[in-house]
Amino acid sequence: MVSTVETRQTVEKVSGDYKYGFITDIEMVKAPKGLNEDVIRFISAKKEEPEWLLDWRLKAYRHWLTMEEPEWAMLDYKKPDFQDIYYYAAPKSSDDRPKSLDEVDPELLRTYEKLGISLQEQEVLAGVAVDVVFDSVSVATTFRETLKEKGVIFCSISEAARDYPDLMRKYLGSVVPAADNFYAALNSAVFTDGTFVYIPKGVRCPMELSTYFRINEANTGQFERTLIIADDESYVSYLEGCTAPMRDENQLHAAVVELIALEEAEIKYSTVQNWYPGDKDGKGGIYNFVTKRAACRGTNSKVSWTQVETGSAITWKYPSCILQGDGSVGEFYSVAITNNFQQADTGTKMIHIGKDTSSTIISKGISAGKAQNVYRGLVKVMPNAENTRNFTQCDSLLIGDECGAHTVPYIEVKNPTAQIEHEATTSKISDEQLFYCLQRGLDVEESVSLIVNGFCKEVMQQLPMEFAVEAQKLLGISLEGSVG
Amino acid sequence: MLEIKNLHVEVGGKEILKGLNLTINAGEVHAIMGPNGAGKSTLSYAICGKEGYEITEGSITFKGKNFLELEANERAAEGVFLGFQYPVEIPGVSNMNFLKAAINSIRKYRGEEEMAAVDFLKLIRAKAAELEMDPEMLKRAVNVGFSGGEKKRNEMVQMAMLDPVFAVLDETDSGLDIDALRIVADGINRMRSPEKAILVITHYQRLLDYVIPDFVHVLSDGRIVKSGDKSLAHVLEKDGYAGLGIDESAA
Amino acid sequence: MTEKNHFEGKPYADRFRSEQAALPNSDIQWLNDLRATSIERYEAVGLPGPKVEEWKYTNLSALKSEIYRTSKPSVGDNEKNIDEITLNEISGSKVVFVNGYFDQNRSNIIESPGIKISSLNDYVKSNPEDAKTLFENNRSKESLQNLNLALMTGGYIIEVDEVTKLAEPIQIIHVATDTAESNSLRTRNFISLAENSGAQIIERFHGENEVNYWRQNVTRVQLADGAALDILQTQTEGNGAIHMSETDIRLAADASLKHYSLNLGGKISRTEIKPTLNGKHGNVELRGAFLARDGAAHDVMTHMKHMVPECESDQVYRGVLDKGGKTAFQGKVYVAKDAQLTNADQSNKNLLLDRNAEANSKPELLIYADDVKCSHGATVGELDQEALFYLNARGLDNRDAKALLVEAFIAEVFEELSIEPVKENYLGLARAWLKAAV
Repeated sequence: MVSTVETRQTVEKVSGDYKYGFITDIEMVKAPKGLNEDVIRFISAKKEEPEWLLDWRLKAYRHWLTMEEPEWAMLDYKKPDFQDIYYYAAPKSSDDRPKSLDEVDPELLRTYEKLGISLQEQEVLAGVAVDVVFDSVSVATTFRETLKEKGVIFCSISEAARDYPDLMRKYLGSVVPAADNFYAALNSAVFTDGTFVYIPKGVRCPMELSTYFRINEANTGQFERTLIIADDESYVSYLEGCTAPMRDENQLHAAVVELIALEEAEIKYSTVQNWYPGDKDGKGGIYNFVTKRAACRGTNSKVSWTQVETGSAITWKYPSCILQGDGSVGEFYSVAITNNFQQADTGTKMIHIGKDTSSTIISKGISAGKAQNVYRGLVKVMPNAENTRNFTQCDSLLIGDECGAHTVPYIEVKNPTAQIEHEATTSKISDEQLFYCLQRGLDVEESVSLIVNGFCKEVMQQLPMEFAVEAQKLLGISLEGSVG
Repeated sequence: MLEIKNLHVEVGGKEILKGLNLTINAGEVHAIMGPNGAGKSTLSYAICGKEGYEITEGSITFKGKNFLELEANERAAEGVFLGFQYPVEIPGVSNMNFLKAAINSIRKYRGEEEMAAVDFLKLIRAKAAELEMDPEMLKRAVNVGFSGGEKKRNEMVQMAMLDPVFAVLDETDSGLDIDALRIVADGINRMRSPEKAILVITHYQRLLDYVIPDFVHVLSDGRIVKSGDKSLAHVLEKDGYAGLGIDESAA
Repeated sequence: MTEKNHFEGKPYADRFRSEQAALPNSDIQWLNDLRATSIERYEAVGLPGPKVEEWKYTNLSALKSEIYRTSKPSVGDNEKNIDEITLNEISGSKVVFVNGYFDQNRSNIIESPGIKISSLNDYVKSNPEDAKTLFENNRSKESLQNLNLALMTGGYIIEVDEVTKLAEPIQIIHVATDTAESNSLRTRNFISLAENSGAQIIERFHGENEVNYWRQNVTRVQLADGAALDILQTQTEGNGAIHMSETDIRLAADASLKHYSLNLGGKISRTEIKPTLNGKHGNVELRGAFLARDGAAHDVMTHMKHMVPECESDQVYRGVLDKGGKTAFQGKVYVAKDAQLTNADQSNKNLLLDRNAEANSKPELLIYADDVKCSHGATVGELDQEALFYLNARGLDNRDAKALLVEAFIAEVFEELSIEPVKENYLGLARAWLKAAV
């Protein structure tokens, strides 16, 4: 039987010049519904994992059993039944998928069109049962060659467990311990998918690494695990997610992302999250419980998180930086849009441990419809963190009078040389601004999109070009119908 | 071009315009003067379709179309431009982007192709130069951190770019020094042509020394109480509104 | 029984059961019943532990390791002490509490038309129906409030009639003497201002150093339409004290509240201010400074509730932390769904003067209305080195320069205070504290 051990690395070119990558071609069988040690053993066996990883998973699972689902976030949802979930499931067979775009929800297609996504891509995104055409193996080979030449490792996390056990053992769980929190523990026990990146010393990764090309795996991204290690004086920019909305049968997503930046290394991690937010009445939608954390271990290392969150019914997500290395830098740029019945509780933690560390937090929350949007953040300065700096700006924009915007920052300082500044404002799109735009000929939706993009500018300009243009359109699309 | 008949407008349940009649033909420049609170701004908002300005009676027809059926942006796309008394700030949106979005929206409404990026750049640079605006200002966010004069100049650049057939200029002259006033007047005069019309709303006749109107109307308590040629503005300047029997403090 | 993340309620409930008979007015049955239900409610929840969000920064384990006995009326010797902390320039009524009990002899209540000042224990006896209503209308779910209700030993009631404006501020003085060792001092007060009336209340909390006592003062305030109240609090408890002061204020239309506070004393100090704006055009101004050192932890929690449209609130808090000092500011602004055109500002700045100092700030905005202007700002940092150098260059030594800068930092809070003796008192106390600090 073909299993993950024989996961072949295939490369496809879906569209455009940069969206290359691998797909995992595997025949999978379903594990029975529910979670127990046997299911975890099954997953581990399927992945032919080393013993230590199975033990690690089991330990995480046993700890998870003792934990309670957190309730401190301002989120109101029906808690998932963890015994009613498949933790190891084959992707949908071709028979279950739509045969052509004619069978796909026209609403979804309309959005693709607005985003300017090609027909071929649309088919893949919508899960149409097509044989993906591999245009050019040679281009792909060049791509892999380029990375290989530089010594960059970019592979699935299962592969890494097999091929790079030393790196995996050293770093897996070193930033987000298996028992860190309820969802991280669950992920540690059952993760089945994810990405591993290692940038060797002194290497500047020659291209933006992206998971975008892996869209054909959309159905298995439920418990993703990402581990990125930037060795001394290296640089990498990683793009996660997709501007196109993806339909997904899995309601619960609990991903873990760990970043490690060593001496003078820099990691730029950009996310566009556009999972299904549920319909206008709040039915359906993804529960997105993500633990993302970076350790700036090296002197003068830097991690920059940029996120544009427009999707999911429930978002629970706090990409954080542990600034251990002296002179290390953490950044968090976030746009979170909630419309209709969406709820987002998101923000960051900046933990200053090393001397001369600095952090910047720019958060823009937009709330429309009946949505609730929370910024929750912690800036903590430890006693030995001399001369730390933090600047935080949290702005909330309200559209309509049935939504809520909330700001819950925590500032904890134990060193007198710190300089911490936090500012927050809440406002709405003024009637004057709207009329001004209308009078210049823009329609209501264009006007809202323009004003919101302006409001988010500081964050949007952090996005790599590949994302920026589509992300701008996305802001407008996410807010459709919120005014007028 | 523009025909307003028996216009009654309410704002927040209070009647501001009480049966206003006004006809403006192509090629004409009209000035509306009047004391504070006479309803001057209300008239401009009613023409341009601002929300909250409820038309309870009467009609506004523009080039034969019933304007009351059109949204604010559709009226703009029909070629009506409003120069704001207080131009609005839009943080994070550059003048350039704003105008590009506006021009293309109007073109879309008219069923035209989008303007090519190169043509747009050429045009905006030319217009900025004509109106003596620093090209750097085009990259800055719309009106954010602009001085009063810069804002008004920006309105003129926008007007030049959008090339309307009819412009309503609401107190465009207020708060301007003499140089800025000259530039604004210059912007308005550039627009004068047999195909176009302009409505200047002002409290003082100062601007009318630079933009010579064909007709002057005096608005008081929601109605036009007197119309005449440019000499009427001078009468007002000399005798004040009181000379026309208008109690300015009561308005 | 105890709620999750709470310390067990039983020890204080047991304490109550053994002390009940000795509490004031224990011959009044309805009051006994009230105390009994309150202690039940307390026991069902227990004392909040550090995992309870609002108590994250205030560690109450000291109340767990020692079960404080309710204070007894003292036959005190504190004339001098009380005199020292009285603002003699102010000629209004003076209400004195010694160890949680109203002290008739040391108080001086001046009869004045339209104003009634009573001791809670007298009021319970003479106006039982009104007292019952007062208690009934001010029920709380919070366990500490219930503990206060069960074990209260005294308090004051101030009632101001329509349109009456007090000519002179009322001074309330709470003193703890050395006989308060291992005691809890629990007072409960009610202030009610009728339509368009006005009053100023100066309240001082003071105690002997090296005495270990727990003060818990709870005040409930009702401001009718157009009423205006200033509350000016100064906390100079002894360095062994646990100080808790909770003020809950309900404002009707056009009412206004100014609440000033200066916190200097105690080993644990917790000030809670909870204004609720229930009528249009209400206005609340909160100003406060907290200065902590030597193991003292000062925690200020404000909870501003905008329930209706068109109200304004503004908060300014400054913390100064010297060696061993710790502070937490938790400021919450809540804007209800229909409270459009709300204007709410909040500012919290903290100065750290020493390595062994800690500042925590949690300014929170919870907003459910869209047409609002809300903002908050928080900073933590050390003294501006540039400014320090500038003063050095003008000839001030480091010590004086620092003191001057810190004083300026605090003075901003009290700038608009109109009662000159109180303002002077605030600044004088802060200056004395700073002298010892820098």
